Amino acid sequence: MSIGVLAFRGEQDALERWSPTAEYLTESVADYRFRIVPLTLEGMVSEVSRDRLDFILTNTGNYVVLENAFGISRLATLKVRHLDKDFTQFGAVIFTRADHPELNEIEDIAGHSMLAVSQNAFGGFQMAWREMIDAGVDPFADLRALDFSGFPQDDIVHAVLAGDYDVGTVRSGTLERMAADKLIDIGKIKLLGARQSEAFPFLHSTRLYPEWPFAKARKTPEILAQRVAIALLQLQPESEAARKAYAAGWTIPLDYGPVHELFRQLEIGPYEYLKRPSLESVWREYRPWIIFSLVMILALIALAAMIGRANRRISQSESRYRDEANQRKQAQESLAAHKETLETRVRERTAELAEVNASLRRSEATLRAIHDITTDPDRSFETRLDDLLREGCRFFQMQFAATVVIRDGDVRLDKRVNSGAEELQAMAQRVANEVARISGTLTIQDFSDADALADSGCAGIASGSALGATYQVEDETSGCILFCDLQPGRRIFTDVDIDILQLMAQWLGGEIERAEINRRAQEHRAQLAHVSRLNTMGEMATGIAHELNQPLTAILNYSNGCLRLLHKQGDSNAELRDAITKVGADAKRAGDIIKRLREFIKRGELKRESFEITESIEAAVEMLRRRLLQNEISVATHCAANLPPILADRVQIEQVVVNLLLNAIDALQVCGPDSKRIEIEIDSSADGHILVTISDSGPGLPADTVERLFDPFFTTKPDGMGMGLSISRSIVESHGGTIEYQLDERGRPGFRFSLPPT
Amino acid sequence: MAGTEQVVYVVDDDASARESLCWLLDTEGIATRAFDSADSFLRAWSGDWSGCIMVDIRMPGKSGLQLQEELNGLQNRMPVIVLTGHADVPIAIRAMKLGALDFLEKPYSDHELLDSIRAALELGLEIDRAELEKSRYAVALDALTEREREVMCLVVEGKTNKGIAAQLGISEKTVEVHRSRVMEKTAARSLSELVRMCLILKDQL
Repeated sequence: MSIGVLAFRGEQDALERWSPTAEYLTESVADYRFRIVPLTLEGMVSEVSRDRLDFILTNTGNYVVLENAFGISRLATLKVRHLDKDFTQFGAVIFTRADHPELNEIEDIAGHSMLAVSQNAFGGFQMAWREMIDAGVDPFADLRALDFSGFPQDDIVHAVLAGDYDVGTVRSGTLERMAADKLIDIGKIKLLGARQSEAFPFLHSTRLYPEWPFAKARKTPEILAQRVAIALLQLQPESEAARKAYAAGWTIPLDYGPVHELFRQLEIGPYEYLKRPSLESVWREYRPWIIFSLVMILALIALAAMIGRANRRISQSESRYRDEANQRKQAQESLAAHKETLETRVRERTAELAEVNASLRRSEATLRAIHDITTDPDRSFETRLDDLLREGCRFFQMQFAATVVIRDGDVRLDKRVNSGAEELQAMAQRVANEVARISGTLTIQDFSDADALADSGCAGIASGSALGATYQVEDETSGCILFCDLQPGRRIFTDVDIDILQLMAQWLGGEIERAEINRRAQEHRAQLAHVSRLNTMGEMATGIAHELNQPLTAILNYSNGCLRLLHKQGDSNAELRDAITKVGADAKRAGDIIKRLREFIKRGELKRESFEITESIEAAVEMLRRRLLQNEISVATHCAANLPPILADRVQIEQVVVNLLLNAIDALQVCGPDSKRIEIEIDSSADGHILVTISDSGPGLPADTVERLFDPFFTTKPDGMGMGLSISRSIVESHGGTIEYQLDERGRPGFRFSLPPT
Repeated sequence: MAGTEQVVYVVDDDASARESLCWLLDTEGIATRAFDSADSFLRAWSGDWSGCIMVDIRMPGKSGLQLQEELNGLQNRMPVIVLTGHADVPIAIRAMKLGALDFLEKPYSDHELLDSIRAALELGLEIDRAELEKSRYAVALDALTEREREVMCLVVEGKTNKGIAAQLGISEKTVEVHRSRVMEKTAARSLSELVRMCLILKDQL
């Protein structure tokens, strides 16, 4: 399993930082080996787009880009340990020298110079960018200078203190670390737009965003992802993997919505398309008009701008004063209120914290239980589903659980656990309808409070609580899992609950999808077997007809000849004439019986469709994969480019390929283990026929058998029926093609058949 | 060639079917010659043979259809009747496309068989006769001089003696002499017979 890691400080640093985590996962998740693949930002995008990674560990901004473009999804969020404190969020500081005379607020930055680490750095620039835009300053338009220094960020702090730039921005915590290392005197730094957050003691000027996520690629199996997620959540802060990563471990994945908002606002990353109208084409087409209009408008704009700027300044400062006055008033009021309730609050907080701790412990236990249930090979799917629903009831503290099938607008309760009163069933059906309608996740803490649902499918539910999440099968919503109760929720539903609910739904969707794929493969095999049986009977009837018709023809010839001779001699012996006439009539009757038998068993009409011959060949090889592996036979397929599709009966053609491959497998029994090879070549002839050659490294056929190869009942195998090649020839010929045995230019034996193009 | 006896050539790998067919035809006084494979028939084949060929489709080695293809390459004149153990529409179509006169499914009734053979022999005779006539005319044509041949072509086109004389720049009298020599050498009894002769041999003129 490869874990792509964003190596923003170089490969060596990334390997040192994350290899212990890979080793930890290898130990914790049995049967898999994990390794670190250090990548640049561009490298990350290209590897993920080619599906080369199983897991991704990258910065917050890059994660959102990849989630949007390639469907990677987060399993856990990094808990960073910085200056002995643990955080799952971070921000950025925008700062200047303490003695800078003009700069006090973010909006003052306009007209000054600024230094940041890189335009693509999420914490190192984009966070500050958003705050500046909010303050009315466009860093790319309104600044005297905007430069990017590259890593390390310390250089930015030094440059601003030295007076080379007016303003700098760095990731939160950088200033504190440099101060702790005695590199700077933090008193000489002034923060612009400083904010306060209870849970985050570092200086910051921006909103806070979640830390690095650990994500899985779209193709990575859910079950494996769950095991990795559980292992990450259990990583201890003192472990080497945590220490090397400067982390205190991992936590339940946070909401990356704020990051999306940032990108949407800045129109970068996944939202870059927002600012991409085709200006060039407009410019090319209307250049003279645009220039003319611009000249005309320019004068007007200059005038308007002067007036507008003056107005804006006045109204800005007005509203600022008003806001400040309001805020001061509110702050005073709330301070008073705080004082009064301080003691109660302390008690409440303590209780909340205890509840959070308990809930974390519960969710961890449940995650482990879900993992045990879903990966237990001794339990059947039904049992696992039952146990999963029961575990859910226990965890969410709900009375009732059900799975729901959603098909063509029909929503039907399927499997139920703890099915109770009729009232509960009716409620479950309504909730199911609503979950199906929104095709997503629904949590209702208490129906009596949920006014917003009055217009939805849940209308009429007076009280109670519910949780439901849909799952997808082959990218279509095809069912959901739900829990409900006639009582309001016994505990508050959290993001962790939603994650666990979705995890259950995803598992169920995955299982159903796998069962569906198995069922289709089974059906295909059964269809082929059916056609094969019909073909065999038809071919036997043809063979018998051919063999019996020869002597019957002779009998008829002789009896007719006798009658003619008797006639010439004057028909003197009437008794003899009648008997011979009956011999002829009976022979004719025998012929008719055979003819009827053949018509009865006759193969059905060909079901012709247009398809690529390579599809049939791949399907046939796939079907025989197990047998090829058992016999240690390697198969190589060479296909010419740009072959036209054929118009043929897909199943019949597949049977021809299967027959020829089975013969090749039998022929290779006599070969040594390392020399068993089958080669399939697909080409086209000058007149557009598709040619398929299946040759093997076996000894070939004795010369005296070649003439009779395609005869019905002719076989060189001890337990063979002698039908395979005969049927293959009938099929190919009924498609207007030919089939023959041949030795290729290297003397290898094989069969070649041709099929006309569409 | 004309006058040689007509023979039904039977090509079938199955001994009992082959021998019984020959015996039946023998009782009808039709001469037969039997072969057990396409190859043995082709080895013996001669352009002089007259009659028809009855061939079974499914045989080891070359099939009946392959034999038909080779015979077409050899400019065989004899009509071909195809026999098969079971009627298979695509194969019947291929045989007909290769020029088979008829397609019989075993076991066939004797009337069906004999009607088909008689029709084939009659056709073979006609082809032979046409061939004979063609070769006779060709000999006659060889005897004409260059000038006589020119005159003949113009006569057949329907030109008058006067027109021919003007076109070739000779006297009307000379045209008359050439014309009578043409009738004499070709032994044509009338102008219409001369026209027919020219039509048959038109690719050699």
